[in-house]
Amino acid sequence: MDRIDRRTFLKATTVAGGAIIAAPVLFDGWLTFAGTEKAGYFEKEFGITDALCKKVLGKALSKGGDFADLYFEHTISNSLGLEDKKVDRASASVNLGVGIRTVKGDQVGFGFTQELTEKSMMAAAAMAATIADGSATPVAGKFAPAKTSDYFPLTGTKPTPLAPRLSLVESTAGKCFARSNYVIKTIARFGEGRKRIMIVTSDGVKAEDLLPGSSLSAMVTVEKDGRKEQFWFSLGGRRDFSYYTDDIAKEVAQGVVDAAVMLLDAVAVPAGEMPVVFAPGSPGVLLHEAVGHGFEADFNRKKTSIYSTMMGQKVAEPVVTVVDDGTWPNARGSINFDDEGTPSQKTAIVENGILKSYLHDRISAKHYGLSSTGNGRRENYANYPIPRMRNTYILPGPNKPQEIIESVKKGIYIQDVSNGQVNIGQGDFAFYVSQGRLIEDGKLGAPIKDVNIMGSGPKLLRDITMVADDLKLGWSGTSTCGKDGQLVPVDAGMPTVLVRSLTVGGTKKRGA
Amino acid sequence: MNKQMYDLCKWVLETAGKAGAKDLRVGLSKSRFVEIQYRDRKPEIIKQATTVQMGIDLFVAGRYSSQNTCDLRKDALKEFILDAVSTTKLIAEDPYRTLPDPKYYQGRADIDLKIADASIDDLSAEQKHTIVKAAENAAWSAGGDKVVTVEADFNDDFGESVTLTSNGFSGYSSSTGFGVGVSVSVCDDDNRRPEADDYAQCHFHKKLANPETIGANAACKAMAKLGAKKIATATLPIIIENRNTHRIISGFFEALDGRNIYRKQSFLTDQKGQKIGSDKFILVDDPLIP
Repeated sequence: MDRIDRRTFLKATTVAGGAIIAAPVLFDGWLTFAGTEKAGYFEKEFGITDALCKKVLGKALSKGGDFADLYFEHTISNSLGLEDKKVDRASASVNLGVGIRTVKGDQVGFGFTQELTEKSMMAAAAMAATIADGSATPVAGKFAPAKTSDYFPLTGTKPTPLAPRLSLVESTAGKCFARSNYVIKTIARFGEGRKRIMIVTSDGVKAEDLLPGSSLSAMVTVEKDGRKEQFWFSLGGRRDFSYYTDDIAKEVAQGVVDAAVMLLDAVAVPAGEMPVVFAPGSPGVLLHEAVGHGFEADFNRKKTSIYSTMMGQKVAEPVVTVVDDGTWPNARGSINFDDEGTPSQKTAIVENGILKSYLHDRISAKHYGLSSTGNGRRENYANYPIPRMRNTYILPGPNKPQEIIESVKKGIYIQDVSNGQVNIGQGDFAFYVSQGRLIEDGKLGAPIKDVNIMGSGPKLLRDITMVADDLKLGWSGTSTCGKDGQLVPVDAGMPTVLVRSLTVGGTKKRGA
Repeated sequence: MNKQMYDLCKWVLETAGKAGAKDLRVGLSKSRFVEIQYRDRKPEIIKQATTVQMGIDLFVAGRYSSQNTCDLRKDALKEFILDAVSTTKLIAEDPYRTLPDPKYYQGRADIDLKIADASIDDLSAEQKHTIVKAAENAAWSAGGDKVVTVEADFNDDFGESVTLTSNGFSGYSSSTGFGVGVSVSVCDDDNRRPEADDYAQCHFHKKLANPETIGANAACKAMAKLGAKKIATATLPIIIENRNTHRIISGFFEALDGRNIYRKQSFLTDQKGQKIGSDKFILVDDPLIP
């Protein structure tokens, strides 16, 4: 393999003083940032000084407004893809820009630019300022660095090259083929990104961070007696490459192949209302989609969520506590602070069945007279922040998983769901069960396929009657939530839980 | 053709060629857009921006990679290209992934798709606010006291793109878009909040649907969801409203995708010429609708 010398990848934006950036580098074929330091990056590499930020914020508040903020971003992402037993595709992407927001009450003026020059930033700030029409609001004299913990420390200060990543993807595919003779095709992928951000607010907060993200995924096609099935599985999070050991490659191969092979013997289920047991981990996506969005404060501020009139009321059995947690180490939805500079936290949404808190950004927090819960997030500099979940899960309960399964005479056990549709206002949802089993007389039975579940998210939450002690996050490394056209990384999880009754859509007639 | 964009793409082709990329495709797109959103009769979001993006597909010694960047300064681009070529050389060969045979570029229809409105800049900010207000007011009027909240927005955009390949393809496209949308939430007796929306999008401002009609439609659709009841699970005939058919047929798109056919992952693999649905089911893909 050819060796590429480490060298400067991108030249700098020319700023006052003629600084040259040397941060993004191609290291033996893998484009990344040279260092892992978090503070001072945008000033050092792009000449973004506090004085310049103050000037731009002043422009954004030149017609008044409650506050303004700047969100600088420089992101590098890469991926490698394998098909037909060799890594034969690679991609890289560089994104750079700043978003400028002016907020007045619940009104937002927003502009962004991909040029980090004073002229471009002042023009975007002038656009943001148009949301207000009064006299200028003053900007804080000093910006104080945000103090927070580090929930995803990077393990090395030097970038690792392309070669071990190629080996990882090839090794994962090899392990898939080795695990079962039914595997006829494997597609594997490794993706990694690093996002540098700096948030500066008119009320004096300055927050800088380097957010890693990566995933190793595989999809296999299996065939037996002419019947074909597919499955996809991944692991990852806010991790650097040191996470991806041989054991992780084995876990991905095992997860994807075992699930696909099980589908070869899957049977249809009868349709109707029945008890449903959710396995720990991946089904947390249902909690996120069907229930969690209804707790985001913007939907409640706008009165479009069914939960907008239920604060302090019982929304679940006492055994249920739902949290949204930005502090779980290395989880994909974890953040040291949100995209408004508010430190991350673990927020109890539902505590022992009682609705205790919505998930707030600064706008909704002000609306309700509360502090932000650190949920103001955005996809990138081209979007303004809105309330978003981080890692959402149900806390462990008193039951044992086996005890829950044994409590069901006839029902289904759901290990993973996909292809969901949710209506937040009504709370309705429909999901495809991508992995599951029958439950017959308290025991796990045949694997199932062609099954959908549907119902009301709030009712599903009310109908959780047993919660086990085996909480797991999904850890997929690729979980991404879409809202208002913005995608943000999240994770979700749950322990084994029993939902006393849920509508199951199947293709088999009852009694057949 | 935007000459400045074309010249930059041409320069990328030449620079990559000198670096050893015999075959490549370069695409450069620019867009600018405005979004004005009102909620409950006051502006909630005003957003405006201009974006650029360059994508480069490299085919080096039978190997492939794709790269994207929004930093278009020539010094930065040159480094980006040189490193992209070097990276591509490190991965495995994929002899099946190449640029299209130039014979397919021949005989292209030389027609104007008429999807760019030259008068887009004539629409003033005040006129845009007027459109949003009209749409929102119509929703409130049609929905009455059941309405909880109304969100209305107007957006317009101008985009243009240039694509060049090293084996002779050259293409330019530009388009404009205008849209108005209204979302209405109403409150049901059981505190459920059914929501419905209506929207219109078109390439020419003068063809944009009446905003009052959009607002009223959204309100009526939301009101129609009041009192919805759950029905028993059953096998029944279903009538799908025409505006929702795309959500049904989009389920076929993955199965029709060439990648899934050659990977033999689609249920339509080896089914060409076979009957796969009702005689009444005709599905076409048409990029030439004005």
